[in-house]
This record gives sequence, structure tokens and C-alpha cells, in this order.
Amino acid sequence: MAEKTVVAISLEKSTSNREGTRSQERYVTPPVDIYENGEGLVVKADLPGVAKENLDVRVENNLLTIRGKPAQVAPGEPIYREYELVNFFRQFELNERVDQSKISADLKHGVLTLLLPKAEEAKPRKIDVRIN
Amino acid sequence: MQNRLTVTGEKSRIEGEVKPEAFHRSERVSGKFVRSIELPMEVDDTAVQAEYKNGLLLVTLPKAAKAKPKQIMVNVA
Repeated sequence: MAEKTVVAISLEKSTSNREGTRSQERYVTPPVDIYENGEGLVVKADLPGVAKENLDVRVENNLLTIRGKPAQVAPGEPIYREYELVNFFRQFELNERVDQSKISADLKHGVLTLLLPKAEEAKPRKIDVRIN
Repeated sequence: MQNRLTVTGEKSRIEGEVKPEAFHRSERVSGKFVRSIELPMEVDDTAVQAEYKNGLLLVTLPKAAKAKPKQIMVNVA
């Protein structure tokens, strides 16, 4: 296994089981892919039906929270239902190796891509050795 | 008479090459998909519309004229 210099997002707080008193407060945990590249971590989450204005991504106290609300789009009477549009919610705990001020987010076709750059000190640095 | 809607596509995983060992977590599905649904009524296949927005596909299939409910006038003698 290759060495991972940015470790993790040690995940996570799974609060997706909590239920509110209203049905709108039901949440589903979106599946994610998390991988590492030279710059840091990349998180990809599937949030079908969620438009930018209904997406909330925030970092607070080392906690990264993703919240998405899909637009309701089911006119008429349901005949067959396999899939329900429910809110998305997922949280991750970040460690100090991520530069939280440089996190960026992109949403396309319902897929959220988060870039979590490594903090400068966490990047591998080559140290030049001078030999006298 | 067949009334079948078939959707095919491919869900790409990641742009560019990512080595398997670089993954911390891999939960999303990816790859080719196909789904074929038998419709419960006849539809007007000249008026089918499909919209793809935010990763959701919405297909609207109007009922064929003969499948619409028709009111029958009752003659009372």
C-alpha cells in the first residue's frame, strides 16, 4: 500500500440516524469516494437532484459538514416508487493536515467534488543536504 | 403492443487516473448501466420528453389518446 502522507479525514460522525419530528428532517448519507493526490484529499459525493442553491458545505471546529436538499420533482400520483428524494447529510472530522481555508467545492450533475489541500507543513519537503 | 422505456448510460468515476492505493474510501458506484421499464399504459411515443438536471433524469411520457379516460354519455330513455 502506498504511503499516505495526508491522513484522513478520520471519519466520521454518523448522525444520519437522527430523526426530527417532521419528515423533512430525514436524512440519507450520500456515498463518497475519498482519494489522495499530490495536493491533498479529494472528496466526491453523489447528491442527485441537489442544485447549488440547496447545497451547504461548511467547516467549523474541524468538522466538515455536507448538507443537500434535492428539488422536489414528482408531479402526479406515484405508481411505482423505488427512490425517494430525501435530504443528504454527512459529516467528517478533519485533522490539522488539511488547510481548511483553502477547501474548494464544485457541483456538477449532482456530484459534489471537494478539494482539501494539505497544509503547507504537511506536504513532503525535500531537504537539501549540504556537505561541507 | 410493447410499452417499454429503456435508459442506458455510463457513470464515470473520476477524471484522470487515480491509483487504487490512493483511495481512502470508495463507496460510489460507477460504470455502465441499463434499466428497462415496462410501462403500465400506452404512451404517445412522439411526445416523450427527457430532462437531465443535477444528475436526475426526468422522463415525461404522455398517455396515448386511447389510454386516456373517456367519459361516456349515458342516454336515459
